[in-house]
Amino acid sequence: MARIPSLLKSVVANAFRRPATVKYPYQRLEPPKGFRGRHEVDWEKCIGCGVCARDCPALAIELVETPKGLKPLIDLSRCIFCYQCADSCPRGAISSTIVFELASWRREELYVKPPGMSVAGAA
Amino acid sequence: MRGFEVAEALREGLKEGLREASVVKPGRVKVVVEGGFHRRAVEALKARFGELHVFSIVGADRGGGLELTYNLWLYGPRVHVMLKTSLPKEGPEVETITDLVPGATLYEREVYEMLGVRFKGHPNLARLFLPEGWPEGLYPLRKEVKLEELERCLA
Amino acid sequence: MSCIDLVVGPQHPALHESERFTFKVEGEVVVDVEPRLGYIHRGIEKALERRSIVQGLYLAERVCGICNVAHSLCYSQAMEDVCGVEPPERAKYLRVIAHELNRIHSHLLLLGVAGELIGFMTLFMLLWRDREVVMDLFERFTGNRVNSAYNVVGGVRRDLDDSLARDLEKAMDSLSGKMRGYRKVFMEDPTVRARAVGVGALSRHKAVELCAVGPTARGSGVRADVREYRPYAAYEGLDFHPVVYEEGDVWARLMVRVDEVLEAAELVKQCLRKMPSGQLRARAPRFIPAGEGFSVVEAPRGDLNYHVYGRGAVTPDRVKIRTPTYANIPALCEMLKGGYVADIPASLVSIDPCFACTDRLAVVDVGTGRRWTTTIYELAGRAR
Repeated sequence: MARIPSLLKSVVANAFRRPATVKYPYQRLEPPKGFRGRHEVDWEKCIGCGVCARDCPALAIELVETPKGLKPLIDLSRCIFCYQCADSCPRGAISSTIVFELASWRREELYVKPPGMSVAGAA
Repeated sequence: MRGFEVAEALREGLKEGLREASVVKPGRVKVVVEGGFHRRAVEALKARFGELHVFSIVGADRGGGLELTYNLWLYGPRVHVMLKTSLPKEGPEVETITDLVPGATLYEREVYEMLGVRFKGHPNLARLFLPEGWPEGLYPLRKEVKLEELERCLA
Repeated sequence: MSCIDLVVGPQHPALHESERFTFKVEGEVVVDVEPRLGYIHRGIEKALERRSIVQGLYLAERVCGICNVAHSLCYSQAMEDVCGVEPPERAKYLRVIAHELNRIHSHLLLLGVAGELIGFMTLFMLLWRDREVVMDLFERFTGNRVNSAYNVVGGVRRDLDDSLARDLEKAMDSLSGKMRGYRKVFMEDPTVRARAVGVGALSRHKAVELCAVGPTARGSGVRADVREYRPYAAYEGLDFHPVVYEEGDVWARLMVRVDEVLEAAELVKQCLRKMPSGQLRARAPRFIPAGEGFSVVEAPRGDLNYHVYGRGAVTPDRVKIRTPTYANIPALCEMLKGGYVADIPASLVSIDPCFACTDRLAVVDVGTGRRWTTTIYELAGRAR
């Protein structure tokens, strides 16, 4: 294979570079700012209008009763992380965090719940 | 505006059978023909403008009847032609254009499968996407076919 | 001579998407080919009839993961056409950047897969390592590596800050340099040439007749690129040259993609220089008026078009999606006929098949005689 000197240079150079693989979970890469991870809702800003629930393509948001009025309950197991909810919210109450490790042992944890709401209210 | 000569050519090439040929915006010509005249329109366009490309063949259930739209691109004048023809919902049939444009073969099969339009003269008018064993006469894109019925077929 | 059926698939670890192939062969020559599609059919067109404009946007985006930007762009443009909305200038340039980055990552993916199929694992690994740079940029730019959710009806979601713009420029320069190196490999390497030159021939006449699109058509001398003949977004104001090769074989189709990566990197840099300031989005429509909208874009695999019918409601009346791989299937069948069985994988990979877009290609055959199953790698291995 004496006719690929150009590629051979890259191959040899790569032998001396650190590997491209990141040994997750021992090494972690942090997603960039603006990564669409778990939702964070500013419950004070939310006015309970329900536009987020109406526009959600995955029907992952439901409005539930809380002591402070109607608030969204986001089902992360249905969510497709498109953030149309954040886009639609007239008060900018929904934003993304860089949290992406969302796997959990219990289904109840797969929700972004408004304060003052019990799990029973989700059914 | 870009497209006038195309509309003109169609008016000349199809004296009868042409209901409308208008430039709806620069570079887009809408042509509505009577049933069966779509072939003449394609022939006229090919004869006058040379190479043409089929963007898609859209079948739509408009409620009262079916509508076929041939989205054509003419490379020469750089004009998009929307060639439309209406069909009844009962036993809809049109002639194929696959002898004029062989690339339209799969598009016609899809319209047949989804809406029940028969293309006379098509070399192989068979199903394309739906699974084997799909019931005859069930055309998914017709308005009266509801999602629940489709889900039952796939279960 | 007796004809033999060869069945490959539908599910096999070697196949990227589920597909089933049955070829009619006489000895080693493919005699006839007939397409059969259907495994990944999801009923998206019917589903879109019950989705509002914003909901439909995300469904359209998920027709295909690799070309998701092209789908969301075409959908947005078709909706803008029927609703009479014009996105602002800055949004158009940002759309081009996302679109070209999408093209780069898609072409690098395909070139790597082509390398893998030929047996050139080193090239595959190196190309995909460079592709990671583009994926990381996507993540910074749109918030996710795939499923960018970047285009909206009326404009784009996010802006480009100065630091990202600088990094984009540097990454494009670095990628162009590396790409020129890979170009030499594709031009000169004897393994690549032996497997690709003269294989899967498609004449210019047939390419036009069978309405082939994208690099499949441009590799056969058809100068057809939507960005040139029907410019959209900001392409009108950009200095753009379509890439055309005359040879019409697998090699030509791969070379078109190699050169398109270089062209795309140039386009991104041009956009960064020429981008005007201004709004990111126009007021979004809430319902679709009665009428029709049509949009066509140059997705990485060819021309993708959406045709939308409105009826004055929140949901559309009908949405038709015609994807590029679907358009290339008659051309693929033409390429396979008369060729050797061992050349099937190379021809298939050269049209850059996206079965999620097309919904599985199966080449069915009416045969008499023996049937046996094999894998696409076994087929590829027979040629080595």
